[in-house]
Amino acid sequence: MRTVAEGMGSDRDHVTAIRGGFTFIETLACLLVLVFGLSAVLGLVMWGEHLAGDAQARSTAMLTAVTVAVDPTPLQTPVTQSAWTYTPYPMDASGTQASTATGFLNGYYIVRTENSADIDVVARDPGTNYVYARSANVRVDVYDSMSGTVQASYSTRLVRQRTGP
Amino acid sequence: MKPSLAASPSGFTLVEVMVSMTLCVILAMAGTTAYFKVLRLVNRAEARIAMHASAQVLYGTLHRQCCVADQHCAMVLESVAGDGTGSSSDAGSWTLIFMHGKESNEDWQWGLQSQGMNEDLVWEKWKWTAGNQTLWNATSSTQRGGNMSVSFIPSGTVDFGNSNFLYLPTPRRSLSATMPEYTLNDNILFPATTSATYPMVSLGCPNDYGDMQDLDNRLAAALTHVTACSLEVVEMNGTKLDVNDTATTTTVLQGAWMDGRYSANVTDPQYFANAVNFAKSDLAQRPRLIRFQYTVTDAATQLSQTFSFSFPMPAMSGPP
Repeated sequence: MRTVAEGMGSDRDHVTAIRGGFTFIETLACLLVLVFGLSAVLGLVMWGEHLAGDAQARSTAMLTAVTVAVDPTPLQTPVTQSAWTYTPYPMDASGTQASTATGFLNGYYIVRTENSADIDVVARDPGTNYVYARSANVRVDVYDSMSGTVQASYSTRLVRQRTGP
Repeated sequence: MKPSLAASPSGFTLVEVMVSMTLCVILAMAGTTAYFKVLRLVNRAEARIAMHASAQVLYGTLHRQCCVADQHCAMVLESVAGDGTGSSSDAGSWTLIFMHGKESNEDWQWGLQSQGMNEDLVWEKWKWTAGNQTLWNATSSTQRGGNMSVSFIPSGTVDFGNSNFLYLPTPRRSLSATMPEYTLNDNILFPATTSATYPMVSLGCPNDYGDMQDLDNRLAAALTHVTACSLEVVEMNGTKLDVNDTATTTTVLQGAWMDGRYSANVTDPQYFANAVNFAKSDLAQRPRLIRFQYTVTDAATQLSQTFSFSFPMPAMSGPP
């Protein structure tokens, strides 16, 4: 059983300990929590920027897809020009024709496919066998050049016209 | 109890303080480094977002203008060769002008105008100047007017001095293939010639200027820090016209008449009846596609991005 004096002494020790401030471990723990908190804030800022940039990039990716859909040979820089491949099919050819274009444009990796069959021929001169106009199905997939994820896909139908006689 | 009371006020030991200070210094260094690294990444991300946002605006604007540039729209393409340095002394530039509603180089004739065949609509101009790395854009005024501050008596005894006037763009220009700036300014309302009777009356009305000058007056920066920019126009006959700062050229693409002389119907035998006539016709020289490429650089982060877009004109696509 504790005496009154012992109790007072114990309380005095407790008061003294409080006046001594934080312990070393408590200080380290506080610093650790502070570091985690600041890291979380910085991480949120970075994540927000990433989301905003990703949204903008997806929008530009769609514009890039529309560009390549109407033009399989857009203007290129010398670096991307060397990596761009495109094999066109003959305008007058019979049977199912296909062409593929691949390469980098606007920071994305592009895969463009085009198909045109006999049924898509709008006007063919039976004498010369020239095709004056034919339609074609075009599909463009735009990939993020770093992660490889699909940023945009676009499909359309073109009507191709002979350049001249 | 006394030893305990004496020890407590002494606080941390020297070792504890030194360890704490060392940890604080390490954390401060790591925090500062991380902060500046994050700041740099955020700046780069924001610069990239701004580049993509401006690209979307440019794409939307040019796409809209190309879509409405049908056969009635004449175009002027001009290139001025520069030294390729991109410095302030670089004189390189190019210009693209859409002249909607200008279907022929003959539309200045009063007889044709009276038949209601020709009406000039809104014109649009794009210009890139290498010296200040800026892409400019202008849309013509829908109307202009002013006050004639000097005496002007064109005929009879009526003096138009001190009177206000207002006029709409009228088809009174011939589109020269070699001097579009000169001929496209022909539609000033009052003469600018000096004579004993009418001394430079246009100077008495500063708002009386031609349509080309009107476009130049309204040029505003659409995008800055454009370190490289070029165009390629693909005509319906397959000809490619490069518009950039490597050569000095002027090309005029006349608007095409839609009166049956050059049919756009591919099933019409007349369309390919005469290869020479077709190749020389306004229709064959109509643009089928406009390719546009530019490089923009962020001054703060030195981040650079090249964008390339192609815009279909009101025409069918060419051969594969």
